Amino acid sequence: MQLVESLSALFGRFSTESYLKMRVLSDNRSNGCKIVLFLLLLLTYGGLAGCAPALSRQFRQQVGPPVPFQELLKETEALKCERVVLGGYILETVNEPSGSLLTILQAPLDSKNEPKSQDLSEGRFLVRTEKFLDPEIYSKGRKLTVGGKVSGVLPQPLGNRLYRYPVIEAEELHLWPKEARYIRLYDPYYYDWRYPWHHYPYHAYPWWAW
Amino acid sequence: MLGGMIIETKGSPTASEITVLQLPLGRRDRPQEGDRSEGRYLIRSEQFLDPAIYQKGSQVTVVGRLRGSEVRSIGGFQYVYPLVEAIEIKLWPRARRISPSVHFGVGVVF
Repeated sequence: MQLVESLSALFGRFSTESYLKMRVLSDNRSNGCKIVLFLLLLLTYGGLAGCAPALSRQFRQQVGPPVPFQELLKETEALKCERVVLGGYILETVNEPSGSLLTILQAPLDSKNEPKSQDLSEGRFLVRTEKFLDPEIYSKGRKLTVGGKVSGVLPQPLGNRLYRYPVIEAEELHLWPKEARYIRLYDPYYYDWRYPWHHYPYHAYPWWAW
Repeated sequence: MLGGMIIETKGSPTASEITVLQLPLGRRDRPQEGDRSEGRYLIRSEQFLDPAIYQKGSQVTVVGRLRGSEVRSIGGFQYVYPLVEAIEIKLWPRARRISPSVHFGVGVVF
């Protein structure tokens, strides 16, 4: 029992919690239902820790119904001071003495407020923040969700024309983690004949058990 | 001891300077990937560090002495870089994500 105690101390919060639950369980071992409950708790704990929302609950409660991006582009002035949630892919991060200005390629958001594919983009917008955002972290191509107030229009040249960028005064920023890069070291269709167990429907037995 | 990802390496015959994006250290003092950087700093070394070897994006861990700070601009922002005089620099090999070489098989014998 002492070993278990010291081990759970080592593994920290998670293990301490599960250890406490274990103690509760060992008090009435006959109750099989509780063990199932314990396993369920373990699973949900891991699941909840994995997905924190992009924006705080407080902010999400303050935001009204979502504004279509087309409407925001056309009627930015009318929507001034309105709180919106937008997302997209960073095109550029420029630092000024007063803060940072991000140029974002808009992308529609999914139910978790995560930007979808950039091919679904309907335009661009600017995000202004007082914080210093390092351009090495907020680099081109990164996914970002921003919650903030509409503050106006800033026309800027884009190629040969002037693009009217809506400007969002950022209140909350969420940078999404980089998509995992998979390096494939072997061909997925390569069939390894030396491996003792072949795929089930064809060869259920290892070669030495024929 | 600090770790991070190289942003830029400038070399001259007498001294080299690396701009590093700080990253928290993980197992075996290797910088951990992710966005948990708390800022930037400069490494100065008397050795010649080849910019082709100390490439942008490589991870380094450095042991050194703090030698004041230096103000430089990032865009229009005046950033105060802490300056570290290197005693020892460890450049981590680039290839990192190697799929585990252990495979688990489940055999069913009827």
